[in-house]
Amino acid sequence: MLRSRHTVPLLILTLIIGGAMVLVAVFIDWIPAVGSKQAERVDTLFLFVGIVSIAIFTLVTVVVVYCGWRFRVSEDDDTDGPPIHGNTKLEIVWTVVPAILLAIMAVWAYLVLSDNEALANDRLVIDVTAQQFAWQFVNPEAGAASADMRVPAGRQVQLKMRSKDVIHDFYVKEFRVKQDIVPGITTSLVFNPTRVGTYQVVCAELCGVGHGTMRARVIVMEPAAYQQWVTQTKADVAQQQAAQQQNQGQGGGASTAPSTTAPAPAPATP
Amino acid sequence: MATHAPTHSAPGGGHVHHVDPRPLSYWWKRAAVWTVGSILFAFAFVWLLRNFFQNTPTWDPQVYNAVAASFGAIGFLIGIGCFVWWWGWIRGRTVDAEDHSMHGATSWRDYFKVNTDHKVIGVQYLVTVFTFFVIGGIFAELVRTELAQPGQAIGDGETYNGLFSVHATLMIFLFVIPAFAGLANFVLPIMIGAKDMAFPRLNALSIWMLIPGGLMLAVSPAFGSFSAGWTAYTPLATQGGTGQTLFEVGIQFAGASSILTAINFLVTIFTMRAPGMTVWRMPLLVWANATTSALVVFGTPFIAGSQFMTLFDRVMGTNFFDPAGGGDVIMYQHVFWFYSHPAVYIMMLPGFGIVSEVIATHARKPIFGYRALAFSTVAIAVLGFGVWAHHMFVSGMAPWLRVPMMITTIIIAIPTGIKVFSWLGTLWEGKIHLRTPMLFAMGFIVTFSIGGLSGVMLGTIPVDIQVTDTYFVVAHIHYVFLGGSVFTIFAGIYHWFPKMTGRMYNETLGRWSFWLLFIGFNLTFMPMHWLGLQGMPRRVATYDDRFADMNMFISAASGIMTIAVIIFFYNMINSWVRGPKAPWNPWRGRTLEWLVSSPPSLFNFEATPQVVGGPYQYGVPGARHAVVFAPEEIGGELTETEKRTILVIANETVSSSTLIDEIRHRADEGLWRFTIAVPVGDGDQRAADRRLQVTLSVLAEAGVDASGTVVAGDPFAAARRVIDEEDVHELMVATYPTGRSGWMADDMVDRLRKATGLGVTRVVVRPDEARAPLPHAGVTRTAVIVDEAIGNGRLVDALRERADRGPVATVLLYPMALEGPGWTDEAEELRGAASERVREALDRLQDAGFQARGEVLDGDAAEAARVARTAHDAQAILVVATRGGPLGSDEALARITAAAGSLPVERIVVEAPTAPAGG
Amino acid sequence: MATAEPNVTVTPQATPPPSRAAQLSPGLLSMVFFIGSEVMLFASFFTAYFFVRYNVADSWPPLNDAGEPFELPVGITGLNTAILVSSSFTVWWGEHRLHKYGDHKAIARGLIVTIMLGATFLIIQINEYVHLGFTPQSKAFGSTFYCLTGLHGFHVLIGLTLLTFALIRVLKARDFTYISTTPLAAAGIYWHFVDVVWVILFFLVYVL
Repeated sequence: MLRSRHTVPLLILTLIIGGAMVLVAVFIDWIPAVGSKQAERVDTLFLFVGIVSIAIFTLVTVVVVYCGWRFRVSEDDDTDGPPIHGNTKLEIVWTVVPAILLAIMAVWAYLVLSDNEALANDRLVIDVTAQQFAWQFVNPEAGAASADMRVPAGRQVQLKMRSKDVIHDFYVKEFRVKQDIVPGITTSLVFNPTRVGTYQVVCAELCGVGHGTMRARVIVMEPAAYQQWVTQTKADVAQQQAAQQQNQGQGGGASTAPSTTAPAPAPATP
Repeated sequence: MATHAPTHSAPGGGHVHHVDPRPLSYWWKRAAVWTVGSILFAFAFVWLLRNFFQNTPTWDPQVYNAVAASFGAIGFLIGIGCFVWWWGWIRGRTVDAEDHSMHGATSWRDYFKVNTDHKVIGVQYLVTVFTFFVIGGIFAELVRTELAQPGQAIGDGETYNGLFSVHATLMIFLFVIPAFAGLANFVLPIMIGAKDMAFPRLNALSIWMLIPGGLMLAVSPAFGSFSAGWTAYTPLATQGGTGQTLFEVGIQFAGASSILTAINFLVTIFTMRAPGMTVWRMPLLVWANATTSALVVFGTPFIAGSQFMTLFDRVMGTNFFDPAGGGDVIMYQHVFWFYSHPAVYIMMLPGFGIVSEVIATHARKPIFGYRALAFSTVAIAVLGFGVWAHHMFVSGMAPWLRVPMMITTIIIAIPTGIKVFSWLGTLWEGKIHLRTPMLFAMGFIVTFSIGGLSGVMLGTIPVDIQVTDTYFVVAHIHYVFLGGSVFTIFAGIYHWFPKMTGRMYNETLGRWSFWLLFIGFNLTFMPMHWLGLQGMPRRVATYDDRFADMNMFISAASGIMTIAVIIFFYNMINSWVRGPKAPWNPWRGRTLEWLVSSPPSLFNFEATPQVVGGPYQYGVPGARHAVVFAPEEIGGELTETEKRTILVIANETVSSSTLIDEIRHRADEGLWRFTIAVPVGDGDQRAADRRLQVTLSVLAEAGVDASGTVVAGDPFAAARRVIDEEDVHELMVATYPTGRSGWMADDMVDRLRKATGLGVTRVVVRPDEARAPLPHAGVTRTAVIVDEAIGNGRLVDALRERADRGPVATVLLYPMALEGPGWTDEAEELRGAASERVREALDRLQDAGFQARGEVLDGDAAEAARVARTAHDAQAILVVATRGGPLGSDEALARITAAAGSLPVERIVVEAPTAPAGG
Repeated sequence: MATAEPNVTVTPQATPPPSRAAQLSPGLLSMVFFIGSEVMLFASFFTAYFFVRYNVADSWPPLNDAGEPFELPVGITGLNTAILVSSSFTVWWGEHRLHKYGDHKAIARGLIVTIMLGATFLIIQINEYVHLGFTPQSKAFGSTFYCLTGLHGFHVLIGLTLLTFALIRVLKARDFTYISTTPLAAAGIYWHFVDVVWVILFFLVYVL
């Protein structure tokens, strides 16, 4: 094989096509910014799967292009190719090699998955309620519901999510996490935000007319700023509740639900 | 019902073909009455029932719609005549199981009514599905129009949700799945040597059932289309309106059609294979369709179940998916994907089969690893039932199910990889003809690899969690279904177009359609991977501004695909109407469908063929796949009057072994006699006659029924002359390769095709082949040992005399009888001069119509005789001697005779040339 | 794999021998595949049943709106099960007489009795529906119960229709001889399938 007259042109073609692939992979910004520990692990796995994919794709394309160019005959050529029916060694190779690569992928994926979903003891649990077409986040530490989610950087967050009507999906691309929110059950999602910033929450499961606009924000704050916000919100809520109780005493029958909008200080910027 | 392929005599034989006398309008009026009547009946029926059971409110539109749609479709099927035969049977009438009154097509009208001919049904399928393809394509372009810029462009969000839902549903259920059913309907029974499918009437019911189902989906936008996506996840689907009802009912009809076809295929493949067609001799398309059919039979009921439950939830108020009533939302996804993942293989495996056929045929090589390909098909199908939950990694299902499903998913990549690599192995060192079907097949390998690899990415759970429900998945599914399935459908359409229509498509337009589609496709869908990774969710009409440029680019690129598809349609329709007639076997394929006429006769075969070998034995000397017999009624052999004529037109190439082998190959089909016409123009008639005699002699020796004539004039004159006298069925034209051939320079093949309206097979003969002596029986191979007489005109005269006694093939041997060492410059010079003289002599012989080869020998005449016997396998030796020359003596003759052994030796003595020729 | 198949020379025969697969009756084979498809349709509804029962419900049978557990009449349905199962034997008896003795009267009688038993089953089942006290709208329990038994009832109806067709052919066309019985045998197999499904359904839904 190595001494075959096909070796050199195949190598050149591999360099051209493989090189083009690598250029495309390197010079286009495929991967979005990283915002969580989960994202780091997923990106490493993705890199591995990507490299394997590029290698296999290059191999296939090189052979197809080379065959189309080198073995092409004119319409007048009535001869047949060599009657080769198979090659057991080759067939074993192209069964076993992909099997090994895939096994590595599967084990790696399993490890990443269990790491990504391992629960920390000091995690912050936030209740999420989705409905057509809005999000509501209840932070038990602050005791208030809000349309945006505020979490401290460096601490694990677990979302307990419920839906009021149809299936929605909580998706933040910088965290590389996604989870359907299904009516009737509570689904859970874990992420460890690492970088302070504001990220977009996208509903990723078709949920009706307003699906495309069902957005919210996750605001990852410095722990200190977050603590300040919690204290502030708690105080505000207490104040509001007191006012409400007064109202109730006067008018009665008013809703006792927690306030739907939480007064929030300006997002802390580092 | 027809069991093992019944025997039908050829048209015009003993069997009278009764044709249904009722006109087209009768059936369609009947269908209209039944459809409208059934819908009205449905409304009355539901109204009565609801009153009887005191359901409130009496008017609940979705109940009425669901029942009316179902009844209307069934009424249509009754009206159009799907049940006529069965209705007679049910009532206890005497019915003829072999009733062919609705079989076959003689005009376009026959395609518009119920027909039991699998070939007609195949065409009906393909025309139907391509109609839905156009509708689905328009929806796709509307989707891209909406997405060209970030804001809302067409209608409201609901409109957009309807657009992509209808697009996906039509493409999946009304295009890809039934397109494969249509292609297989046409070619599969022929491939296995059957006269039809096992259940032709059921087959007709299947196609007609697809039509109302498809119409319900296609017209649903007019009633407020279903907008929960083709996956129709509950509870969102439960919120839908009339469109959703039409979706749920329409899918049932499409699904039932699919199941019935699949059962039909399975029974056909199990019971109706021609004798000798063992499972390991089945073409891979047959393997693929058997496997796919099993998937359809056992998988499709699950989508039926899921849609029944959703329908009941919506119109009856059941609680399958309502958590408040104890239902389970995620259960829908399990039931749905338990069908819909195997459906992915239902949409891929037949394509794999088509690609295997196309690649082996156009690369002229046996398929690489036939058994591995067959087994991997089965493996994919079996594993396919165990991977459904990989669509649900983020759905909130039981978490423990994820890793097992990832492992099965990843395992599927192995048989898929085996397939791709086996195709590459088949291409390697093939003789690749880059015709349109082959381009599509090779393009498919590239694009499908991308789809497969992104599939592996999606199979690894953490990556899937990141990119599922984004445009990455949109890119993946289109690389699999468009770059995969649709490319294979196009490959199949182009590949079998000559067989199906009896006409050739336009190759140039075909190539244009491929390249535009390939480029447009990649430009459209490759960037979607990026969009998905960057976090653009799918199924949204409005999106972030940062995706605007890329989406505009994608929308523009999708226009290229539209142009490609328009070219495709133009090519198909135009070629179907006025394309050149196709020969039986334009690609020189080996499988059975290529051994019958284009288009095939009413019952495909005159008699059941006998399969004797594997289907892809390209390049294996003497190997054959099948023998096609003459009708049994006349003893299995055709009498002379029954054989149809193939007219062979050739001049200088007439006695080439290439042409003779091709004729013998065709003659093995048992259906042909050959008339060989040699148009000589203003050339030497006697030379042409001599060549013809050689060919006829060889053919007679091989038992081929052939006659021949030399015609003064051009090939047109020759064709006219023969066609006037005989019923010519097909032309075979032998020429030198393009560039060497005067006929090809004049476009002779195309002009003959147009002038005669017959299919033309072109046989290409290399010039050195044309003059090489034939190795066949029927020709006396004569070695001519010659001295200085080689430069003499008398040599040709002597041979002529000889040739008049019987066809000869000549080997000219010129012994130089050098004295002294053979390596000196002097000897080299002599040798060169001798070679030159031999060449001149050969040219003269060629012009005179002799096939000759020549050789200069260093030895003497006796040596030449030995060489003649051993190296050239000569049957006779002729010595041509100059009077008084070295071979003229009796002594020389005695030496030659001794060296020649048992071969007869003859000597002709000619006068010395007046002027010495050469040095 | 690397060797070519040997060259094959063929002597054309007047009548090629049919392949072994051709000995299978296409009609029966198609019915077997169709039943396979039907099994999967039932399986999809059983899947729904299992999900509702084992994945969602806290107790089974669940509580209805009045706060009491749903009840199913196991006794009377058990009797009904016996009726349906016995009808499998009557059709088998008829077919057996036809095959063994060419007894046309027996097959006609066997079919008539089977159809009557099947119809009895349906009537008892409808009567049960009327007196159950809950509807398909009553929680997922009612939905799965009615859809499973209703789907089965619909299949009993199809089976009865097929048997009726066979009966018509027997009486009017005298179609089936002891060698050619494909449609009859197909209807018979379908009927056995309907019975087997019911036994499973009865066990899973009523008893278990």
